[in-house]
Amino acid sequence: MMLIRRRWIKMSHNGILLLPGCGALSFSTDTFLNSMSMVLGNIIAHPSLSRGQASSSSSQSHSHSPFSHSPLSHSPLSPFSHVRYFTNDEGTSSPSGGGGGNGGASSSSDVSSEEEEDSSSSSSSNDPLSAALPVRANYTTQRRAGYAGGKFIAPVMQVLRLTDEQGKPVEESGEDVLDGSVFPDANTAVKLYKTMARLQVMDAIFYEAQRQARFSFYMTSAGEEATVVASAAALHDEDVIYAQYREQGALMWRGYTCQDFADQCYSNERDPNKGRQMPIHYGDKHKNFVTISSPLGTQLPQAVGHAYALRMEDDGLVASRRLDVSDDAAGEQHRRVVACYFGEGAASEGDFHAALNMSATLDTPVVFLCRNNGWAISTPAWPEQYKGDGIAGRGGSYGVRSIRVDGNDAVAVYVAVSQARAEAAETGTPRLLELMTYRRGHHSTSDDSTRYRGKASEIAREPVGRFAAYLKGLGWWSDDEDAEWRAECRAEAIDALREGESVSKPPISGLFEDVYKDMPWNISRQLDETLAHAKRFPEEVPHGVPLH
Amino acid sequence: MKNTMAGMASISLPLPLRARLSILCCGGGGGSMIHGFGRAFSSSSSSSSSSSSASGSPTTMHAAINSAITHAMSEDPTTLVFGEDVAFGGVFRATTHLREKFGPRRAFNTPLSENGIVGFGIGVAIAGHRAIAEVQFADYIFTAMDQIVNEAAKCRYRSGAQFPAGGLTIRAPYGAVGHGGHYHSQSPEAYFCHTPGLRVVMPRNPYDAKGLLLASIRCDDPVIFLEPKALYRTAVSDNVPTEAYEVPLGKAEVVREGNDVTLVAWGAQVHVAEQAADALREERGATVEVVDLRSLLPWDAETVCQSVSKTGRLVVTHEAPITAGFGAEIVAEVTNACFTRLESPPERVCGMDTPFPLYGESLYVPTKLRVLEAMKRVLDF
Repeated sequence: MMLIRRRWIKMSHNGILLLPGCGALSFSTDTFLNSMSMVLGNIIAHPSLSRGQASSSSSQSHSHSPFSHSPLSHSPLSPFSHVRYFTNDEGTSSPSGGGGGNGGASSSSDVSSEEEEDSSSSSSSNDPLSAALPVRANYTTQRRAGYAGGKFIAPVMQVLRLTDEQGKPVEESGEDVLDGSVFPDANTAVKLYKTMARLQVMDAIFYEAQRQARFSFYMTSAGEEATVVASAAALHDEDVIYAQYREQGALMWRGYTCQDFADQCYSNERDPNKGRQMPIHYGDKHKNFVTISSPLGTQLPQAVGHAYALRMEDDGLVASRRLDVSDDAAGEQHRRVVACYFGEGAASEGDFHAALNMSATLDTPVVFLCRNNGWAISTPAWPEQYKGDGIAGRGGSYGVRSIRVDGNDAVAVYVAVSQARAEAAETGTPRLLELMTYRRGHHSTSDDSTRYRGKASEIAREPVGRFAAYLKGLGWWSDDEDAEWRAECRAEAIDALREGESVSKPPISGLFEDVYKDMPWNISRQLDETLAHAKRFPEEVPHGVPLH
Repeated sequence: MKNTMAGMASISLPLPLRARLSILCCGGGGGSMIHGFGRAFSSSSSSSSSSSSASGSPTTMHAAINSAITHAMSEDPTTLVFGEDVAFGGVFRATTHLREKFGPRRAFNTPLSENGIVGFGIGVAIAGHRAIAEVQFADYIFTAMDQIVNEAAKCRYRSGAQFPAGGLTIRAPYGAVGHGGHYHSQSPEAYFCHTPGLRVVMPRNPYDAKGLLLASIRCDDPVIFLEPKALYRTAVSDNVPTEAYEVPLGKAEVVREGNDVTLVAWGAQVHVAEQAADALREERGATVEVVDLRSLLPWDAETVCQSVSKTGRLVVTHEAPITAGFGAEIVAEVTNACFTRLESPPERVCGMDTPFPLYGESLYVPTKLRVLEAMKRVLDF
């Protein structure tokens, strides 16, 4: 972990960079990462964000952490020597400003700056700005704040990338990337790859099964395997996951088999959710994976509340009510986080704003994982979903440290999420990661993406092969092993479909249970009426549903 | 804008509210009392009401609610109370002293975001803890509808009971106060009653408020707890016990017995119903069975149907607009279950199908006289 941290500090020299013109993030096309690199190659650093004073061309960052600070941060080279540096005092503040828990302030020592020490001295108590802002802001006579030289200046956050599109470590990626020690051991890295490959195989077969009308609906993770599986691999098993709907890879990492997925897709009686939701709405208490719901973004504020409760437990304020105690968690008490997945489209919902804002003000250990796959069904991310610097660019304005990662680089995703997870757990504060990926498939089996973009097969980005190349470079994986593993996964997926189809559906009474903890009179009456009707007219009972 | 009502309540009550409260303040049933309005006003003029209550001493609605929350937080260390302006005691003073008693980690302010507050509470509940979320006015609960309707209400069902949100109780002040206009007056209970998975509870006096709220917090289903804000300071119960107690959810109460008409109401409207019952007895000598529904979802059809089977006549009254109001559900169920016992068509006396008005509130809300006229119609049918 120390290696990782050192590299972070080195990387952070780039921090937030400012770019004249706001057309930088044109990743609504299938070449967004290429255009991003191009943009970054020509980037012009700008030291001062909010005061509109271009005083230096230095690319020095105001941040000493991989996570960007608020835009209120300033370059040490700023001509405004009295400007303060805003760092949110992690783990030392508490809800409503009282004496809350200290979630490990020591861990944030590498983000403190000398400049922040004198930040408490000079603000005037009568100044309205001192009450409303984290640091004393300056008054200015600049009438066109936010503009410089007549042009709008937009910040653009860089993208962490450690291996290139051929899976080769990029220059200065670090010794640990070169020798594979970013992973705890070779087995972990291989398990990560094998899960990505298995997910790819299962998705392909389940997608075809839906096309054969074996079940009603399916969503693949095609193109996003590294984003989902590598991020899940960086979490601890006792961390609670709130997912959106395209994160089956996270469950697979935690041990779900193709059979477990098939049972849910077939709504059979083995589904721990009792077969009540459409396919892909997985949820399993024993995997600390909260059941998915279709409405977008709703899981974000819930993740914040859940994380608040976990932190109460992990701070020793209340006894643990953990959903499930896995074997490795039973011995040593880890501080837990909640990992919350969502797409860049869902980030337009009001719940995103509510959650980011509350996670910051209430100091909750949430790792927000945005899968920016470029598309919300047919709507391209930029400039139709948002016009600013993507999702990570919003983090600083909430006081949430944020980073943007090449989501198709499994190594970068694993490293970034590991670091974010560790910091969130130690400090009890949130982190936001924007994982830049691409939805290679259709939105769902109900969507035909050729109607609004080029054929999916033309998209070259393939994170699974990229990570395989990295592992092969290390000598940890081979083509023979790959062929063998994929054949095994294919057989497993096909068997799972066959078996899932044959398992009984939940009974009629299951339609009426669990609305409330105890069934009230009206639902009880409706159950009786439905059972009587079903017995009289069995032709209205769906195939395979037991008559009780 | 949200704070205007609270500020008004603690300073002075404008004339329209006085007029309305003169209707509300009357003898209470079920072992509790609503004091006369002179007493109520002397109580409301004191802005720093005690949060603790002693047996036999007058207890206001907000103090009774505060007492219920205090019991809940004492008995279960996972219980949190939060919302806008909760930390300093709440704009209606229902959360006073909780921060001092339980610390800033358990009684705290949130940003101004109802969907965030409710979503946060759902997460707390899914974690197995208990959440008491305050929405400052029921009129502002609608940004949280998605979290309430699609999430809280369905968490248990959709997860096969793996991740219920039953530990969540959402408190919100509702109802007419005389000067609240469109956005400080509404009674949104019917929206929630159309959502399987929720419980909807509305108390009429401090005694019930404490017992129902404690039962709601302890209940393993998500509860929408709508508090009649006109009564926070004006309704006083003499006999609110200091200790914890529950008033059962899903059970109506026959507030007063009668033989000629069944009059169903809930929340603050129960007091209007009692006034109308008194007036009918004076004018006609007819006796009215007043039923306080207390829980709207699931509701106690049995008690209502038993009463109608006895009286043969039904009037339902609520503040919310009449069309698709919860009165429609009651009338439909009673008509079906008690068809052969009915002597006349059931009547509903409710708010109008307009936005809640500012001026002319007394013509919008179902007043004593409108309820009285309806009861005469069902008697004279």
